[in-house]
Formats: sequence, structure tokens, C-alpha cells
Amino acid sequence: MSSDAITGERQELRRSVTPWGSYSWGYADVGADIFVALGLVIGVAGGATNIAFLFAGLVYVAVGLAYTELASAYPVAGGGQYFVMRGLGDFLGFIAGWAVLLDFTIDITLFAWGCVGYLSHLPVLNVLAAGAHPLLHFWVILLLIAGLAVLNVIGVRESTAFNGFVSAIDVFSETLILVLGFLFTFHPELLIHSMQSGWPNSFQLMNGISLAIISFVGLESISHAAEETNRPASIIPRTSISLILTILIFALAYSNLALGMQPWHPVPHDAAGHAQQFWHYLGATQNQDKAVAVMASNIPYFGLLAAFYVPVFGATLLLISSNSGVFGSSRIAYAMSQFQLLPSIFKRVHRKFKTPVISIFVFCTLAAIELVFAALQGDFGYEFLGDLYAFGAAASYTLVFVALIALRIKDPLTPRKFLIPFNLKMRFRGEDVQFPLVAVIGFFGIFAILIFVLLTHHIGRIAGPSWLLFGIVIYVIYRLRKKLPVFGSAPRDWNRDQVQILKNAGELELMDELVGKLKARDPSFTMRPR
Amino acid sequence: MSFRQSKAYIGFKAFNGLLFIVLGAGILVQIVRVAGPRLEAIPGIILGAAMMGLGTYRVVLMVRARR
Repeated sequence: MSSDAITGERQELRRSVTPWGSYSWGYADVGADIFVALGLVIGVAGGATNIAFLFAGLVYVAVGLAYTELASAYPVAGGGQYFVMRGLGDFLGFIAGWAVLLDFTIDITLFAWGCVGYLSHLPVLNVLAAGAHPLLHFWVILLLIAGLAVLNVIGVRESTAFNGFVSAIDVFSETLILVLGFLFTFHPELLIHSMQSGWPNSFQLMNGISLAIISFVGLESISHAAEETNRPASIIPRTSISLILTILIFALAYSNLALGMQPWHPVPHDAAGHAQQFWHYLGATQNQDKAVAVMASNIPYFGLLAAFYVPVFGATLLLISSNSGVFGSSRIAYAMSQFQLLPSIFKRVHRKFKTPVISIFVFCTLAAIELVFAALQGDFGYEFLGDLYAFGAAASYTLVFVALIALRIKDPLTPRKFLIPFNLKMRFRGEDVQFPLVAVIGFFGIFAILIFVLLTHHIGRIAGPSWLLFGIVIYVIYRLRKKLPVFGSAPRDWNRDQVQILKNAGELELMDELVGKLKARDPSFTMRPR
Repeated sequence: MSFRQSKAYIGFKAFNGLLFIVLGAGILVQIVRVAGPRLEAIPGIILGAAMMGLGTYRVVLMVRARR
């Protein structure tokens, strides 16, 4: 029995996310990523950290533009999963959604872990460090995950307000650290020297690039919020472009500053008692989960304040990023369930709060299981989570680029308020089509990163494909039981669906435009099913 | 009128934009002066140019809002 039948009413998410809410959902997720990724990337890419972020950043721009176009044209919860399903069919849509679900559950644990790591930089809370009291560290993270699950069940409006407030403080704070850092500690000679003396081998560089993509995973959140955003076709491009630029600059700036920074305090010797460069110290295991706080505390004078302030705001931002993981995973599962890619239990919403309560519970439980595995790794738990990350996003984004190209060809009538620049005009089956060249470049970029992940992530290359295999088994059993095609697609009327989507989103002008185009192509077109 | 449409907010964004332009230009000039036409200079040059781009974008938005 479907959940609709159980509750006896149509189930949909509330449209309560404002433009700032949409931006802050994305920023809360992506903006915090540098706090996690910086230490991990420096740890493996060394002197080429800025190159790793640059490569991943350029790919991210292409991914961001693709998501902006698709989320504003198809404003429904599900993000990449929905776009791929619509462009390439149900099976690949499931693969895209299931792959990114892995990332979102890791996101919950990784960022909650990072949150506790930043807090442990405070002298009064250093007992929380993973190396100091592992059991206490474990329980605090578990408590955070449980708390976020409750917050998300209560509702998106409450958690969006929380995100918006902290995101505003963070944009200001991250800018302040950069400005003061570049003004008082940055030496270009040191940057060049660090790049030359610390240049990694090819394996380390590939590993660094694949980890650097962590800094940019999160635009998916904007498309997930699309179904809960008013007038998404107008709002999503505005918020996304701003977000893409801000995040790209922060990632490039922090990585360059880390390599060219002359710290205020003397750099402690490494474990073997040898002198080390500052970037080497930042990438060391004990500093990986709080690299930005260590950087900020080494800015002259400001560092006195930053030593207390940055860990707190870093931890808060990481907590809301973890919250975005809960939000994202539950919305993907909700969307996949709506399209019969996952059992209907995942689309069951809470009677009072109208939030996908079962999905939230399931994916927070998965995040807790990942936490147990990470905790068993001891000092390397953070690296373990980082290693698991990136596979899902790279796999999903690769399919999204193919779907973007397919949708431009298969669905040229849907109005696109935002179009990725640099298109090749052509005609396909009697329709004018704009072939997106940036999507082709983006595809090769993200596919290269997927290959890097498989080559260099010892855990990720086993866990990632295993997760996909596990998902495929669930999918096949579910589709067979429902007597739906397994590798084909269930019959759907995308044109009528699209009209309804635009109507629900409040984009009435776009809806009229689409109906007009559909009637011009087929004069007998009507919204009533035949 | 919301806070995001207020003069204070637009002024803050404009200041922020100018700050990014100056900082970006400073980084770009320093990197070019120290590293010259070398591979190692590329990330710094791109960073400087991107900062100036973001700053200019924000200032342009402010000018449009004042009109």
C-alpha cells in the first residue's frame, strides 16, 4: 500500500525556501567544504595543493553551471537523479541518485567529525580531539547526527533559518581571514618555493585533485531546495552564480595562502623532530580536521582572537553542512521514491511537519554506521571518511553532464531561463537545438576525477562500486516486484509533467510558453490525459 | 523594504567588492613580479583575476541598484 493511501492525502514538500534560504542551503554545504578539504588535500598534494584546487574548481564551475541550468528548468527535488532519469532513463537515474546518496551520508559523518575537530582546537575543549578521548569523540559525533535528524524532522523552515544566519556570519568571517591573511602573512616568494620544494608525484597529485572536489560538493543542495523554493527559475540562477564565484575564490585563496603563508608563531617540529614548512604542519594528521583554524590563529594579532573565534564558527558551519547532508539525502530518497526508483516508504512524510521522516531516519542511521567504521580506524578515521567521499559525486556528475546534453536534444521545448554559455546551434529532428560545449568539457573533467578516485582511493574504489552494486540489487528486486521495467523506463508523459511542475513552482509565464510550444507542435495537445 | 534592498547592505556589498578588487590586484601584481612567466605563477594569477572579477561584479550590481 502506498503512503499516499495511508495518509489519504497528496504528499508534497512545503515551498518555504526564500532566495537567501536557497543561497544559504548551498553555501552552508559548499562553503564549509574548504574547512574539511584543505587539510586533507595539503596532506597528500603538498606543494601542488593550489593546482589540485584549481583543476577541481574549474570542473566545479562546469558542474555548477550545469546544475544551475537544470535546476531552474526542472525545479523538482532530486537534483542529479531527476535530471539523469529524465534524460537517460530510470536505471541510470537510479545509479546517479544512489551514488550521490553515498556522498550525502558520508557528508553527514565527515562534517560532524570536522565540527568536533574544530571545537577541539579550543583549549577548553581539547578533550574532544579524536586522539585524546576516542570514545568521547565518537559519542559527541553520534549525538550531533541524532540532533540533526530531529531538526530535519521538525522542518525545513526552521533549519533554513538556522543555515541563513550562520552563512551570513561565515561569508564575513572567511573574507576577513583571507584579507588579513594576505595582507600580513602572504609572501609570493614562499608560495613559489613551497610549490617547487613540495611538488608531489603523479599519484599524489591525482589523489589531491580527487580530494579537492570535496570542496565543491554541495551545489546539489540548491537543486534539492528547488522544489521548496518560490519562483525557482528566477531565483536558482541568481543564487547559484553568486555561490559558484564565491566558493571558487575561497577555495583558490585558502590553498594559495596556505602555501605562501609566513606564520606568526614558530612551526613545531614534525614527529621525527625535523623542522617543517607551515603547509606541511597544516596537512599533518593532528591538524587535518582543523586546518583553517590553525591558519587563522597564525595571522599576527588577529590570531589571538581567531584562536577562539574561528574554531567556533568553523564548527558551526560544519554542523550546518552536516545538516545539509541530512537534508540532501532525505530529499533524494524522497524524489527517487516518487519516481518508483525506491520503495514508497521513502516518500512517507510526517503528518504534522510534512518532512520525509523515514528517509531522514534511514540515512542518518547509515551515517552512524559509517561513523562506527571510521572510529575503528583510530587516528586515520578522518582520512578514511575522506577516502570514501568523492566517488559518488564524481559518478553522479559524470551522468549529469550526459543528461544535460541528452535533454538539450530530447527536450528543446522546455523553457530555460538560464542557459550555459558557449553553445553550438544545430537542428535535430526538425527542432532547433543548442549543443552545450561546456558540458562536453565538464564531462571529460569530472570523468578524469572519477578515474583518479578509482586509481588512488584504496577504500573508495572498493566501497563505492560495492555501494552501487548493493543499490542495484535493491532496485532490481523492487522493480520486479512492482512489475516495472528494470533496465528500461516506466511510461511517463514528461510534457504534461513539465507543465505541472512549472505550475506548482509558480512559474506561470514559463508554463504558458511551454503550453504554447507544445500546441504549436501538436495542435491536439491538452493537459487532460488521453 | 527588506534588509537586502537597504542602503546599508548595498554599501557593504560595494565596499566588499572594492576590497576584492584591491586584494586581487595586489596578489596578481606580486605574483607576476616575483614569479614572472612561470608555471608556478598560474594559480596566483587566476586567483587575483578571479578576485578582481568578483569585486567588479559586486560594484556593478551596486551601481545598478543606485540607479
